[in-house]
Formats: sequence, structure tokens, C-alpha cells
Amino acid sequence: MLKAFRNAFAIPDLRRKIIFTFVIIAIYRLGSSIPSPGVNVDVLGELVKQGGFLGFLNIFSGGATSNLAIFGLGIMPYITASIIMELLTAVIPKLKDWQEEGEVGRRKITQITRYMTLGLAIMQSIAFVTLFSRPQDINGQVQYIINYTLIKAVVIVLTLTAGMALLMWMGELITDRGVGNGMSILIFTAIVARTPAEWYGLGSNVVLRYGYYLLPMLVIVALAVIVAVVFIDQGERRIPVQYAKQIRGRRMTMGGSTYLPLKVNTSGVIPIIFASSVIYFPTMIAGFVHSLERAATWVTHGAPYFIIYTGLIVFFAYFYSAIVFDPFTQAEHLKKYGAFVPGIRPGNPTATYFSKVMNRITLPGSVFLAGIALLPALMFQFFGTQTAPFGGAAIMIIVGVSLETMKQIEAQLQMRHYEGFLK
Amino acid sequence: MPSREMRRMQKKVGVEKKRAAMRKSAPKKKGGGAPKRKRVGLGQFLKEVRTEMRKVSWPTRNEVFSYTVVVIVVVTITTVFVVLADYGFSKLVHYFIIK
Repeated sequence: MLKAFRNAFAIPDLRRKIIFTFVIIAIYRLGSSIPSPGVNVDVLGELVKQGGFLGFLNIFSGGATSNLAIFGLGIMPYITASIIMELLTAVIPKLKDWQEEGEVGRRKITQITRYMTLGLAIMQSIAFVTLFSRPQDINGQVQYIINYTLIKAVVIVLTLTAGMALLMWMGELITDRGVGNGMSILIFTAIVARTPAEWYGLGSNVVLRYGYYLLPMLVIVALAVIVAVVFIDQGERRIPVQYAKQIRGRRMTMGGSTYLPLKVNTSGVIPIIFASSVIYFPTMIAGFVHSLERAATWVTHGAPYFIIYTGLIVFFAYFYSAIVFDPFTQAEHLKKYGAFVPGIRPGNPTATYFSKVMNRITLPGSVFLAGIALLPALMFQFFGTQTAPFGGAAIMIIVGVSLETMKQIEAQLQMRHYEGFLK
Repeated sequence: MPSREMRRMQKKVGVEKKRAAMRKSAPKKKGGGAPKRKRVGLGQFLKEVRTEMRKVSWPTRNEVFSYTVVVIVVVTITTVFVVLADYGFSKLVHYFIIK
């Protein structure tokens, strides 16, 4: 284990990549500490601490929203844009063609995603600025933005949008020249940056209410959750695939058997992220239209919250795995290489079989996801604490990203005949 | 090079066919069975879920252990790094900007 870490640093190429990634992370944190011009930092922090939708955003930006930092939007607009693009790709034939065209087409899609990100970033920063422009104190004493004027608003919007664009570029740099997927690494960093504060909040609350003896319990619960997430993340249904022996011209390929892995949790954290944004919609709108406040509180509290949230997660899990895993393309692919699933005819019947299996294993996977996502709410019920509003998804992301990244490093190690981390 | 054009046309036809087929075999919501088959009832569906779950291969105890350790080590390293960076940067920012 430790040897593997030493090995990772022994290879100059890999060492450079890892250091590069850390440098980008450091720059990200720097940008999250610098507030936008004209922001009253002390007051704004207090507002965001109250939780709700802003608290939710704050977690994804690694605490950068709380001071309206130049990276205050975090990487969320990019994620939203990529999700929207992915949905559009499934719907619009033109985009689908581009995606199948290969490198050039995919680059076009990436380019559109970037523009869409900028559009979303502008919209979101305008929403932020209007939200913070009003003095929230009754006497109009406390100003989030000092001496608010239109020009100041424009400056802040431009700052936030430019910060977002820079962050997007940094993420792509990590993907190209560092280790792991840049966007995942940036989200990971943001979550990790919030973790100590959240744990401190949770821990001190528990100590205050129940005394010290419950602290080990808390650690055990956290460990159990991590183990459970790792377990589910690695679970896969392996569909046996048989390759036919074939002769093409003078070449002969040997037949063989392998398997097609279908993960129990194909869609990862995406359903949780989707469901959370949807369930926060009423709250967000109620922030502007006050007559909706009752509906908002009804949706985000108690039994209705649990039921709606679980339903949304299950729905999005099915929805997203249908987008990610296209049974027909898979079946076609197998057919092209002379492979088949034993006992099932190639082509359409195979596709049918795949989608059937997929639909069956997604149900337990998504219910598990919902359980993990609801964990913080349950903790809230038990321990009476406001922090960790997004703990379950945060843990999913942390586990997913670290495993994915380590597997990538592992592959690089093994390419050079070193022993890896994962045995 | 007529062949390139032909290939392109073939590809187009292929894509078209694929799409048509996909429309047919689009995965149904839960509760719905495979396309062009009878809808299965909820009980039947849950039974099939159970049989499929039995066929899922789970990681071994050893794998789970080493993955968990890897996750914890990675998270610890990054947390320490990020917290230190945050602390340093916030001091810097306070020194230079806010005062």
C-alpha cells in the first residue's frame, strides 16, 4: 500500500502529473478565497450558513459561495450543462450523429457544452447578485454588497462568469495533463474542503446533546457508509459473452469467452444530484415568490420529503442509466465482433435481454442510492443537527472519484510493472 | 473515390435503422417488461429482480477492505492539503484585500 504510493512518485511522468493536479487544486482554492469586488464578506457568510438552497450550492463550490468568491459558482454550471447536453444528445438526432462521428463531432459537442456553461453561469450569477443586492436587515443597515449600483452588479456578474470559465479550463487541464477526470477532481476538492467544518459541526452538536460517548458511534456510522458505498459501487452483473472462432482472409481469431459487466449502480451520483436540484426548485422559487413558501416547506420536510425524494431518485436512476447504457448499441457491437450471449440470439433479442437485466438490477441500486441520499436527513432526525445537508451524495462522490482516480494511477503503474494500490 | 461516398451512405442508413430499432426497443419504465413482450406484474418483476440480484458478483471481503483503505488514505491526504491551502490563502486574502 505505502509502497504503491512511493512507486507512484518514483515514476517521473506520473509524479509530474500528480503534482500538476495538486497545483491546479491549490489555484482552485486560491480563487475560492478571493471575494468578488464590493462584497461584504462577514455578513454574507452568516446568510449562507443558514442552509437551504444557498447552503446546498455552498457545498458544491467548497465554501466559495459564502464569500461570493471569484470561483463562487463552483463547477455546478458545467455539470448542469453537460447533463443537459447528454439529455439533448439522446433526443436530437443531429447531436447523436455528431457523437457517433468520433473525435471531431465530440469536439463540437464539447464546444456547445462550454457555451451553454457560460450562459448558465451568467444566469446564475445574475440570480446571486439580485438575491444579495437587497439589504436584508429591516432598517436596510446590513448590506451584502456595499453601496449597490448597477455597474457594481455588472462587475460582479462578469467576475463570477469569468471565474467559472477559468475553472472550466482548469478542469480540462487536469483531464489532459494531470490524473483523473478534471471535473470530478474539482467537485471532489470542493466537497473535501467542506468536510472538516461539517464534521466539526455535527460532532460538537452530538457532544452537546449526548456527551462524548456517541462520537465513536458517529465514526462507525461514517465508516459503515463508506464500506457500503464501495461495496455497491463494485457490484456488477456479469453477462457471459462468447466469441466465435472466425477466419477473415488469412487471419484467424480465436473464440473465447468473456463477460459484459453491468453495474448495479450504473448512473453513479447523477440521480442524487438531479433529484436534489429538482426538490430544491420550489424553495428557490419561493425565495422570489413568497406565496409559494408553504408549498416549499411542505416538500422539504418530513414524510412528503422522504417519499418525493426517493421517488425522484429512483426515476432519475432509470432515466439516466437508459441514457448511459444503450442496449441496442451494445448488442450491435457484439454482433459486429461475432460475439453472442449463450442462449440468446444476436441482434434485437440480445438488446431486449440487456435492457431487461438492466431494468431489474437498477431497482435495488437506485433504492440503495436513495437510502444513502436520505442519510443526512435521517441523521438530522436522530441527532438534531443542521450540518451535513448533502452528506450522502458527498460520500458517494468522494468514494467514486477517489476509486476512479486511483484506478487510473494503478493502470499507469502496472504499465511500468509496478505493484498497484488495489489488489 | 466512390467507395467513401458509398460508405457514408451506408452509415447513414445504418444509423437510421438503428434509431428505428431503438425506438422499438426503448427500455420501458420499471414494471414494464422487455419490449414487445407482455407486461409483467409487479410481483413477477420483483421476483425477477431477486433472481438477477443473485447473479450479481459482489467484491470480495479483501477487495472491499483495500478499496476502503485507499479511499480513506486519498481523502485524508487531499483534506489535509486543501485545509492547509485554504487556511494559508484566507490569511493572505485578509492581509492583502480585507485588512
